[in-house]
Amino acid sequence: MKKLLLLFMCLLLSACAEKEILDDITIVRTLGFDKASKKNEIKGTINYPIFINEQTFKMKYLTASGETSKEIRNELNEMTAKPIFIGKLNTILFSEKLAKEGIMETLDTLQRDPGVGRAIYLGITKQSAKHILSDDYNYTNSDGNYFSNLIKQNENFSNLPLLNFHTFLYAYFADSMDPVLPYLSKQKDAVKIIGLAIFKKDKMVGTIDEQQILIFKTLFQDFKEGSFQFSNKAYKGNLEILKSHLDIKIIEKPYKRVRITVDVKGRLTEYTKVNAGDPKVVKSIEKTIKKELEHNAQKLTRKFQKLNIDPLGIGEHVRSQTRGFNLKQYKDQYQDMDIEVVYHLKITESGVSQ
Amino acid sequence: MRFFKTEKSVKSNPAVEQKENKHLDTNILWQETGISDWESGYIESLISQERFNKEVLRFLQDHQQLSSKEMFEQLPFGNKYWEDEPDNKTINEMILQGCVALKKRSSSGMLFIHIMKEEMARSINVPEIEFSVIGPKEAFNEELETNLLLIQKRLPTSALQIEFIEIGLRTKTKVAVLYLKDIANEENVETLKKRLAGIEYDHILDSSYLIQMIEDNKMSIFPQFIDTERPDRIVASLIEGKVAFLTQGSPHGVYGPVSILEFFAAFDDYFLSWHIASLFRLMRMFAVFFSIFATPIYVSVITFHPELIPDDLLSTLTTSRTDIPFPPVLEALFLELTIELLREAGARLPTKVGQTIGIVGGIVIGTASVEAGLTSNVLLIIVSLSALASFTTPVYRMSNAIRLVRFPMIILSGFWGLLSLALGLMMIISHLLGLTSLGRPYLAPIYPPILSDWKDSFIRLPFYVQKKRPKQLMVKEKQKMSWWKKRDIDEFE
Amino acid sequence: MNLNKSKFPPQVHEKAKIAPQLVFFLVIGAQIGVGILGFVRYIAIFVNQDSWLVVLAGGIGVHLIIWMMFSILNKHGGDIFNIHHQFFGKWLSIPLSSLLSIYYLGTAIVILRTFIEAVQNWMFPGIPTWTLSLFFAVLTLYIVTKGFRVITGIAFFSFVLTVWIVFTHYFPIKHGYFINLMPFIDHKLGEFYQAFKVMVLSFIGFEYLLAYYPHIQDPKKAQKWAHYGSASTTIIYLITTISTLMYFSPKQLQSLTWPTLQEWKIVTFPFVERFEYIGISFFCIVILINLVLAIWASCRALNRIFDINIRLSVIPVSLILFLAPAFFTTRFQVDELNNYTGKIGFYFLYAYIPLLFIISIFKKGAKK
Repeated sequence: MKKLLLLFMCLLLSACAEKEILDDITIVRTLGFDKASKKNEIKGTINYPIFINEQTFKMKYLTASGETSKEIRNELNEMTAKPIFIGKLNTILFSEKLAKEGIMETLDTLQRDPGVGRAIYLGITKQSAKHILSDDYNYTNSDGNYFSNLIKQNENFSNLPLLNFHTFLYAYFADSMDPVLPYLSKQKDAVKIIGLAIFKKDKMVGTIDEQQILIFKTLFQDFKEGSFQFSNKAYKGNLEILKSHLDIKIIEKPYKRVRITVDVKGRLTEYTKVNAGDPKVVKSIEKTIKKELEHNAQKLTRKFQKLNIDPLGIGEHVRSQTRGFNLKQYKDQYQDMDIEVVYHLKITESGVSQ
Repeated sequence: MRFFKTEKSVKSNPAVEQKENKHLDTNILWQETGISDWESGYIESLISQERFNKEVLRFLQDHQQLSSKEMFEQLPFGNKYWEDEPDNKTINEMILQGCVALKKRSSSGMLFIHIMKEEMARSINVPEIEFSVIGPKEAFNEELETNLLLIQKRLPTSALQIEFIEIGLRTKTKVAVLYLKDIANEENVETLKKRLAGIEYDHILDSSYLIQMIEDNKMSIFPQFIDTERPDRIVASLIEGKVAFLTQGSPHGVYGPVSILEFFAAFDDYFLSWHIASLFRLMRMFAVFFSIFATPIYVSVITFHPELIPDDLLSTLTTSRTDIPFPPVLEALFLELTIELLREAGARLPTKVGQTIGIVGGIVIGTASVEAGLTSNVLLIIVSLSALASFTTPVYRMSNAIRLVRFPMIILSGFWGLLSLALGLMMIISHLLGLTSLGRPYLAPIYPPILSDWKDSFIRLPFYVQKKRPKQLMVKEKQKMSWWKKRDIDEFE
Repeated sequence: MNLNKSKFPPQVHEKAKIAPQLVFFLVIGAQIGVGILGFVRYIAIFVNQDSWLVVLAGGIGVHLIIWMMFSILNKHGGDIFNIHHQFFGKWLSIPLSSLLSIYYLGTAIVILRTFIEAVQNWMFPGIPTWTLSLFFAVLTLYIVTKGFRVITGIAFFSFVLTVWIVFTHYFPIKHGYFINLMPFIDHKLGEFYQAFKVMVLSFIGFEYLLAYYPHIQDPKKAQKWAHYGSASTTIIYLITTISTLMYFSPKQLQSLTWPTLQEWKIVTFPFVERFEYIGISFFCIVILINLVLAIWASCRALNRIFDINIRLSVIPVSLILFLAPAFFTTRFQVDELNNYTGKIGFYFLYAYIPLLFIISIFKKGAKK
């Protein structure tokens, strides 16, 4: 009986799962991928904190190259003191060069790894990812959350649309939708979001510049915070958006004309040379902004059609509004489809003082 | 002291009985009284010499002409007993209970008078374990008589039944079973009486002996009866329809059937306003869960699921663990054991020294072991908090059980982290589901779900809502209150 | 051994019976299992955005079957084993009831193996199958020996402890796109039928009712609660389906094995991230009641056919539960296992029970 019990205990002990004790792992916070000098190879960079004592810790980076991300991981594991743990990964960066050749191959491995979250952020960097990860930005990045916080903060309180690993996969797998990712660039002591990288499936095909991020956001999703800079010969100002609602409808079937309607509610926060207390003036400002918004939006949609991509997911809306949707026919007609954009703007109040 | 001439309620050890029957006890002092031909027998330490001399002997002196039977009839004592032809066993029994045996040499009849010495019992003290700020401050003492008085005083009703049983082959401890005839469920009463009567054990020194012997599941670490030092708590339980018993020599009354939630209800709760009482109760329940699961959750997250840790805590947790040689499971077990050591040392030592040990242990050892890099400070916080939480349970037996349950949970969390912890939780629940107290389900108002009993379980609703006794007890009279009317001041005008 | 035991209506001690309301927890506890972690994908193969309709239809189908079960059981008294004996005689009833017992055990194995698969894929990749199955088998053994009242208690607690998980669907719905549910009803009837067949696997579990019917205090009152239970299951499945469909684009959904676990990846609270690990752990509790009920029903069948004490028969049965999962090693085999069980379940529910129902209409009821 005792022997049996002992055997049972031994069995149980062998049944222990693989341990990942917090202080015995290399907690990777950011991953960067670049093109390697060798053909067919990519270069991976990991960024992880080294804890020195309670208050101070430093970010370290390591680079290795290989044909697959699994290979890179093995290479890196051979260099670190503690096994690599990517469960706390919060950002993945790709250099523009690599992105132009396609990133899904790399992402697929990560997608299949149950340890990787879906609320993590992806970004495309103008410079090489290694270059971006190798700096500690005057200790701004001392906890390894700099990149993810940068994107998160901008998505929640500013003009950047809600983009993460999940939205990338969503768009990538969708029949008629293409992914978009934030486009980052290093500038002296900081990294800046300089626009959006637009993709055709997993290959980057172009960018949207900084001024148009907001326009894109209004066409991409509903949101509650954002700001738009407008200018006219006579005046200049800033519109703070309080609410934006998007609606995409087919006007002429099949797949001929689509209208995107955006309802924007906002208030003027900065303006020069005008009296915003006057309803007439406000009306005229409204008109100006509306015109500018519509003009810019048209520019965007035309650009997308020219590249034959659909980051806005118009195709998905069309599918949902068409019985017996024919994907092929739709795709053939997409570039010639008439996409109208209409903004309904309402300025509710203007600043604090009259 | 009440004098019991108990019926043969106890099966006694035959070997002992035979020996007892042969001879008279050697401690019995047999002597001539010097008054006609009366002789007396008693044990000196048991009886009150003063009363014997002043009352018994004087009466004998004054009525020398009476025969022994007549003497028995005329003696002005309440506790007297006549035996025509006593055998040695009866004589032993009676005298050992504190009687004086009187016999005329000429006749075979013997008369017994109970004049036991008034004991130097402890006076009625303030409850120490179940102290309450508001409310009565009387506690039981070791004297069954006093304890019964404390209860009868509060329950002047003829429905209160007190039945005596003698338990313990050698100690012959008197146990009083109490219940209210018109309320308590007969089945519960019978179960308790049957179980008590079935005990064959040499010595019963305290009611806790009995609790352990009559529990439904003796293998379980969860207590299935509540013992209390407060007479008011016993009275409240009797009125609810429960059955209680008091033991000679024990300052604790015991009652049942109980459900698990009652172990987290302090009797204070009834003295405070119901909002506050409810808050306290919920807090205690939370404390129990915290106490059992906080350390295991920490262990499993740190060992198996670092993904779960929010970004902001990552650095704190990691740095607190660097340079610690043990895996988290061992570290947690080590710390838990340390806390238990401190508690045990504090409990064994006299109060004042015990306090010092607590402080020295808590502060000095804690700080030192963190600085020495033996334990992480986060774990230290968690372990001491969960120890603290386990002390909030009002019933001592339960808080011990909770402390014990923690250890298997910590060990389990070392296997597959949260997964095995969830299984552990189910293990505890399935064990509790199988438990009964006096044959009634232990998890009663929760499962089987009796919503109407929830008024006084996790929370305590105001008295006017609690019109009925708990359904789970299956009492005879369900209504606790026949009417309740809100009266405004204006009505008295 | 007394082969004639099922001839007599079952005798259950009054103290071992459960209140009719508790059937709610038994039904919901047995229906919701590991299937909820992945079923949407399998029905979406056929009907994509209309999956929720199939779930609804499946739920209604279950109500119909429950109604049939209760009318058979109410009319003839007793349990399925007694009814087999009444309908088919002694020698035919023994193999039929034995098959039922094996079917019950089979469902337990499927559930356990599938759950272990999820754990191996998501939590502990290297964990050997037998370790987890040992743990579950021992726990199941322990609970089953404690009797049916305790099992019902487990059902109750597993519901109370896990029902809040439904609210985590708030996150995927918040981040999802409603357009994924449109256009409504854009599939052929054949596709709906195929999806419906697949859906049955997720709904099975309420057929244990056939075995535990005599354990209910007032069985006629219990019917209402059985319906409520399966309605709640349907609602929970509907919420799951809708959130999954909204959150994933159709092809993305097909690329995932466990969509619900994927959804949990974005559930974050200030004090905890990555909810899927907590979710899987809590699913232990959901799985446990599935297993316990299935094993109990299987042993109860043996008790009714061969007159073997449940405390005795549960030992070999849980030994099978411990050993069997180790024989299915690959993802493919687990999928096949699920397919077969689904098919058997489908025919059992939608062919065999209606058959019994029809027979029961023409047979005289039990003597009162």
